[in-house]
Amino acid sequence: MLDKFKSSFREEAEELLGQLESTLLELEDAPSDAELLNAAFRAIHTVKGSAGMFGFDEIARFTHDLENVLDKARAGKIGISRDFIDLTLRGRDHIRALLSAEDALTEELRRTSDELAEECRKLAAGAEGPGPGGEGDDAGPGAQVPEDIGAGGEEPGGSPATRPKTYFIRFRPGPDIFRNGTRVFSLLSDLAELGECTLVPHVHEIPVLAEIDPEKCYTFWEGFLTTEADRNAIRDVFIFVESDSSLTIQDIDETQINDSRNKRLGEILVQYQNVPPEEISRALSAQKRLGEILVEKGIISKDTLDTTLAGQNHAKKIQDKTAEAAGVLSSVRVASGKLDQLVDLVGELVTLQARLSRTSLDLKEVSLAAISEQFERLIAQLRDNTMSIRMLPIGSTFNKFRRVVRDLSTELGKEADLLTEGAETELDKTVIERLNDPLVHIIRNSLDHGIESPKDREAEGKPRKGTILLKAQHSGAYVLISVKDDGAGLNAEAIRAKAVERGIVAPGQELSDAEINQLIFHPGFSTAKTVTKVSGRGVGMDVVKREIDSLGGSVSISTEKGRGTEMTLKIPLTLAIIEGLLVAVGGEYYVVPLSSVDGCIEIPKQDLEKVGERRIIPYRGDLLPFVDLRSYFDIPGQTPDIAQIVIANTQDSRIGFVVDNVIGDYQTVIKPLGRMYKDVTGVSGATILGDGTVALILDVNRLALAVQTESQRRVQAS
Amino acid sequence: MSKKILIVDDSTAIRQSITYILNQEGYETVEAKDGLEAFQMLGGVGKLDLVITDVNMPNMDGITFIRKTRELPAFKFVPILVLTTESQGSKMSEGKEAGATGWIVKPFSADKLLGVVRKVIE
Amino acid sequence: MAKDPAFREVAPVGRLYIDTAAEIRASLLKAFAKPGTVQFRWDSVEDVDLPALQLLYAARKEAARAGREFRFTGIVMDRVASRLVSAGFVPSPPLSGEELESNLAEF
Repeated sequence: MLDKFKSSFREEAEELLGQLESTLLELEDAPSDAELLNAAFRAIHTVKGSAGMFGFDEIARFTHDLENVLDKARAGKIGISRDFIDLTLRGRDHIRALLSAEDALTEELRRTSDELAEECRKLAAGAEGPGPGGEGDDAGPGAQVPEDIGAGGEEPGGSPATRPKTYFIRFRPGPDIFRNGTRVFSLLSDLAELGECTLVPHVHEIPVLAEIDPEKCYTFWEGFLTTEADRNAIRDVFIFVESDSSLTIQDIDETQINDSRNKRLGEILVQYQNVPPEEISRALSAQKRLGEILVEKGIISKDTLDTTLAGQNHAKKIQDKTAEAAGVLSSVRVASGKLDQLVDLVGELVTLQARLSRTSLDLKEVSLAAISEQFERLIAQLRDNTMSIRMLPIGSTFNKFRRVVRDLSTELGKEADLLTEGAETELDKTVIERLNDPLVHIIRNSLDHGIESPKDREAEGKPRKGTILLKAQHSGAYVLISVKDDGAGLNAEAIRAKAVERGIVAPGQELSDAEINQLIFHPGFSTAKTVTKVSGRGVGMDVVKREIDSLGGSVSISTEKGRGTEMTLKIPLTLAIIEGLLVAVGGEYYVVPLSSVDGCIEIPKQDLEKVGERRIIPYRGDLLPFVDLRSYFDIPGQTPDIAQIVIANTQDSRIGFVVDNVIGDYQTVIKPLGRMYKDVTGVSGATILGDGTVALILDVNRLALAVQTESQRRVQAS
Repeated sequence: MSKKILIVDDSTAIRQSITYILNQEGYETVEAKDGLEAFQMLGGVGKLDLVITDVNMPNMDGITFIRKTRELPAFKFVPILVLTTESQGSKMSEGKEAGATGWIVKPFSADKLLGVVRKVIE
Repeated sequence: MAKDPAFREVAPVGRLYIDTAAEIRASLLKAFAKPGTVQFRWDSVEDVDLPALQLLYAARKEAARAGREFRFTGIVMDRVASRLVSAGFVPSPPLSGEELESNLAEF
């Protein structure tokens, strides 16, 4: 990854070495000039520090000894002699040679490194007098690969399948731990990530508000951690605070902790906290809880009791976890057709349940209502279970995209890497399948329009190779999938010009950046100057948007000129069942997806008539457009005296729907509409209600779009 | 809201690398080429979520920079990470004395850097 | 402003790290300076670290000493809830300030 900056490092090193040469020569004439010596040291130090980062391991290795010599000279332990200057100059020349050799290291170069390093060591050792290598850090750090160096220690799980162990941990932060910006809760979150962790905070030292120093720490923790990570990994969590905190990590015998689940508190206290047994039995004779009595009598402290109880708890958690893990191991493969069938059946059950609960309400039969309620709970569980079976990690499709990027970049003469993140994110199987084409299209677009040619990129000072990041993550009931490139970004002027040319916007119409970006989703839009084989044929982003809309999701763009573009798809976790708001107009029922409902308001009919042609209503300080569903769907009958308006969030604004009645929250199974209805704007599916009637599911985004176009048409006409 | 990180290092290559790695992860970055430039920047930089600074730099070294930064009320508690090479064990404790939150040992990989950054500010 | 004059609310916004500690203490003290119930609102707290939590314990102790009432209210954000869980202050993530108040260890 850092290879991109190799050339940048080389230039910089060349420059530093150039300066170093003249510095050393000046130093020869003015050997007592400390500033010159410092400058020389800094130059070598910087080269050394950077070399290892960019893969120049030989430089890092060799420079270590050279740096040491300069450091000793700074400390006055080595005099600035002709030999000293001579050696450092030769060292400097050798670094240059290594720099230009890069990977093609010859035996001869290596030998020179060794010889020079040896000379440096001799010089340094001479300065120390007898007993060379006083610092003990001569291990040649650069020779190791970067990952192995530093504070990280061993990765948890890096060693082959270690059995989890349980540790007792006591962490008492120093009173001034906050002073250097340490966040104690982050440390504890890190600790919790290592395994199963039960911590008890001890807070009784916190003074009252009037006396507390808000910048001092008064709290400490005791607790238990069961983890596969080793002791070093636990230490590493506290690495930055170890010097000013006290930390105890104690191995606990596994049988001990497992036992303590079943043991009585008394036994544990005798065994681990050294409470005399006779105290326990005396306390037990009183009719109170053992722990409280012992605390009351001052035999154990409250803190000890709390920690012991936490230990019991912890043991219980671990046992449950182990049982759970054993269950996960066995799995069964089934044909996906069977799964689909199961989902269908569950869908039918949900519908039938709705009928049952309605019927029981109508009958006002108490015993039936009770059964219906229980039935409802069971079905909800069955539904959640079934849905979870259908969830698959999205990563299975990621590899396909990698191939797309590889093939396409060759075809286009571009260079790009596809990075992925969140491959483990789970999503409904059907949704994953339907996301495939839109994602391919977006990635193609990124490569075709976003990532520049290697030549252009270099001219822009960017790495030759572009990067496309494909990332999936959970966000509530949605999954966010983003495709981010580090290309040229959207060209707002070009988009606008094209939109004007195509008659999508009027010349001179004022548009915000966000609005301009949205234009690329307009049907028939394409800004490519030539029709490449890949995209730019006009069946572009509008197709993507339509597909995502039909999944109940949305697309958003953010772009920065010269830095790149990011497209984010927001997709509901599952398709089969949605929560909706059931509304009625005349004798017809409609469902508004609950995820897009913002609120409901009432409005007198005459007020609606008053706004007339403007078709705008006030809502929470905004003016919103609305659609009268009665006239939109040509439903006979009259709007009641008090109309209800459901306010829904759309892609980029809000819109109101005038209905007769809002019936309420409704969980519903989506049935696709047949081919015949595929051109009906504003409806995305249907569902069957409890009493058997059909309700149509509103496609909020498309309705909003239809209203917008309509009002623009009216504006232009008037 | 993305988090803002100030990177102080006299090596452009190191600065660029760190910037690149952090930007990839969605962090916003600002750069300074030495302690003095960084310190002068503090007035107008707004709120910072983290400072990553080298130790050996011309004009003003990292340790002095940290010490001076901690004297400013607005940056009294900002997390600060010191870039150091392992041959400078003493620099770690000197950095902590001056008020650093932690350190990153050079050379480091992208994962290593992000690991430490997340440890301190996530 | 609260309608009830005997009702003091402290409703900090954002991430409550060490840099906000002195400020939070000051507003709690101000709230306690007048009579009535003091309420801490969690709605806009995006993240929390130990200093702020210590202050809430300190405030609870202050209230107990003066025979006053100190309550939590509002929605607790996921991030805040999970911090408190991993630091052992609550056994499971609380949704509301009220829930947090009744489950917070030793509170």
